[in-house]
Amino acid sequence: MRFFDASCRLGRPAAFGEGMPWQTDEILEIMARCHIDGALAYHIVAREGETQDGNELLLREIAQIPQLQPQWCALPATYDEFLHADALRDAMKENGVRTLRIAPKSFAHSARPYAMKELMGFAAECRVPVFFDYGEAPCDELYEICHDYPDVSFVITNTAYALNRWLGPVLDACGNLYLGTGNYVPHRGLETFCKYYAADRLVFNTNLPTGSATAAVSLVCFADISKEEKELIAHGNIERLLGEVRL
Amino acid sequence: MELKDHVFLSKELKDTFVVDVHIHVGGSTRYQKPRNDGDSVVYTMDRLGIDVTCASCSPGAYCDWMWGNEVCAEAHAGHPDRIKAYAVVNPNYEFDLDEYFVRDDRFFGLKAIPFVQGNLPIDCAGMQQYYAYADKHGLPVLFHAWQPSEVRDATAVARRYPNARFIFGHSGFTAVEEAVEACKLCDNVLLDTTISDIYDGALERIVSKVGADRVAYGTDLTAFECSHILGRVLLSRLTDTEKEKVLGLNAKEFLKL
Amino acid sequence: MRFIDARCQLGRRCVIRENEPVTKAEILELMDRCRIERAVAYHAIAKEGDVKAGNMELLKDTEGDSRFLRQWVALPHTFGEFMSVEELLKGMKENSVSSIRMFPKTHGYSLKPYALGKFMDAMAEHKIPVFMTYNELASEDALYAMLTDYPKVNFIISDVSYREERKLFPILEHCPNFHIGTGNYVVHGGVKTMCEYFGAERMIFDTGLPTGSAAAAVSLICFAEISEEEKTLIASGNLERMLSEVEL
Repeated sequence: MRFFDASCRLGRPAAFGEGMPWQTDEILEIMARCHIDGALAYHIVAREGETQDGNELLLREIAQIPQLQPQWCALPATYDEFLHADALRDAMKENGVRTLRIAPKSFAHSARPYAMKELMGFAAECRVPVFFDYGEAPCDELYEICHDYPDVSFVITNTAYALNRWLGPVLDACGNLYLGTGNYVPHRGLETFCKYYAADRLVFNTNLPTGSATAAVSLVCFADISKEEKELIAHGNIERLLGEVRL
Repeated sequence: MELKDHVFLSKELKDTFVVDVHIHVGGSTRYQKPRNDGDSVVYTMDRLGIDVTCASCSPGAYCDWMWGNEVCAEAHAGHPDRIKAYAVVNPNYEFDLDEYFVRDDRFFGLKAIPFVQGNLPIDCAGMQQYYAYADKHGLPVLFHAWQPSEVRDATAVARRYPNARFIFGHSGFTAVEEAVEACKLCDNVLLDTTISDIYDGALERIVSKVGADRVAYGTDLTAFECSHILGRVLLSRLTDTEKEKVLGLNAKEFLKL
Repeated sequence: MRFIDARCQLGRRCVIRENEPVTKAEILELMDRCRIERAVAYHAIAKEGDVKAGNMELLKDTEGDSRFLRQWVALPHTFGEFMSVEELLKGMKENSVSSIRMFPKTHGYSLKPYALGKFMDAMAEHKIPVFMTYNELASEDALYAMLTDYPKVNFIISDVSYREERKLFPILEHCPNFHIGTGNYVVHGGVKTMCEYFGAERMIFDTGLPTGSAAAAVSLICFAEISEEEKTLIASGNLERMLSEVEL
């Protein structure tokens, strides 16, 4: 079975655990070891430094690496700080970028429509999936963001194991929410999820380099679900979402 | 077949002895914790090829520990060869452990987690009765040893009670320096692999510092999944011999299974 | 005057303080000493350990004991974890459980209609009062949102203490389904003021036993500068009326 990682991170971190693979060739080595054919990657500078610079750094970093596809971080174009919708579309099209990552808490802006309408309107119109870590819109905020933008497909990453009571009602109410599987580790969580919501809403990801690719792959491989469901999760769902993008 | 191949073939580990030294039974009020009974544990064990697990009742640690111990004993009674039971102990209460270890033999060790029982340190006065008992009878004790201060306290306890056998849950990932020091000072200490999320390379790191003989497979199942932690071992850069030690041979010897 | 306590916890709990009552016998001794006739009780394991198991332990611990009125702790039924609303109502009826307690913060779930709408509709339909402590709500705004999202459900909010008046007054004004548990409602002259502004009907006597003080709670009512009729309503009348209206 082949895997496509829907979300990993490149770039030099400020701090890292001893032995943690953060350099691009180390990440590629783990991907190969774990049978991960390709990955969507964003850049740490775009997430934690300066967004547009980081997005540029990403393109340079992966220019000669076909397995890695770019994911840009994005924020509202307040005071023209970021690209407005038309310019963003052109830039994404030119550079083969098909997904965006937002971080409203970390980037200090509201996720409500009065603040993010333009960016999310673009994502909805062009069918661009939008990723964010659960911590960026936790609890009821997750419902709000999915409900405010029903035509945007959201993929949440970094969910851990204790969220089901918050997650379940949002999954019930909002069909546009997808779950990144990296670190979604309730006991038999994937099996339960497939039972209540179907494998279509799960997207394999690793959260490399802070997350474990070996763990993420094993979680899917050992899950008590059908081969078809595993294939959907491992690569099918993200390939479908990416195929629907219209820039 | 190499051990790592089991992952990609979704194949249970039939020819390797696997012991999970750190699991839980019982539900939770704090978050959803499904399939937490003994039968569900054995179902997961069979799917992955885990031979033996060592369980404590996690909700019992946070509330009525005696009720929790009964839940755990019931899981053991349902699968006596597959699930071993730790008895959770509570430093706020005086308790004669003969009730668990002499009047019957439902338990094989102790689980110590005093920080959730009134934010008490591992080496607090109320816990000494239990450590002394474990030392007298050569029992294993599983610590929640997450913070560096907890590992230091646990090391002091391990040195004071050399006949008891201590597993320092989590510490090889969360308090590495202190865990390494503990392994240097004490022969009666084993580390485990229990942590829900850690980077690839962290296992290799602790093994390189303390040796593959001092780390045992542990997962916190049913608090969360265990297959991903199994995968972290199987797909790590350790040799198959080292993996086999971590997966079960260390625990077999240490816990006298 | 008869006292019926709206908040009592049975069962062995994790942390105990020296001399604090632990066993049911010790709790009953205090109830007798403070002349508390009966108490609405939930189980410590349902709060701290495992909700379903704790609710079952409550049934065992209160079997044949008319001093305790059974209260179950509830969870939303996500991923099939708890009981469906239908199963819950059936279980409550079969086991003479007449009220529900919830711990949204401790147990980690949303109170919003998208998450709890169906559950709260059932509470409203069957006139089942829902109990919570104030610290289980994120803020006074969260309290207001809950009360206005479910205007037909009677909520009893306890452990309010003495610093929340400015926040709670407008909520009491706007939300007639908001009732205050009096144990630890120790604003100076607070019980009297509440009676003057909102009526004695809005207060429900509770103690928070075994960690709260029954003696203090009883004294607060006995010494309040209010009429005997108002004391009787607070001490037992309001709660008895609410529980008698439950339709299972």
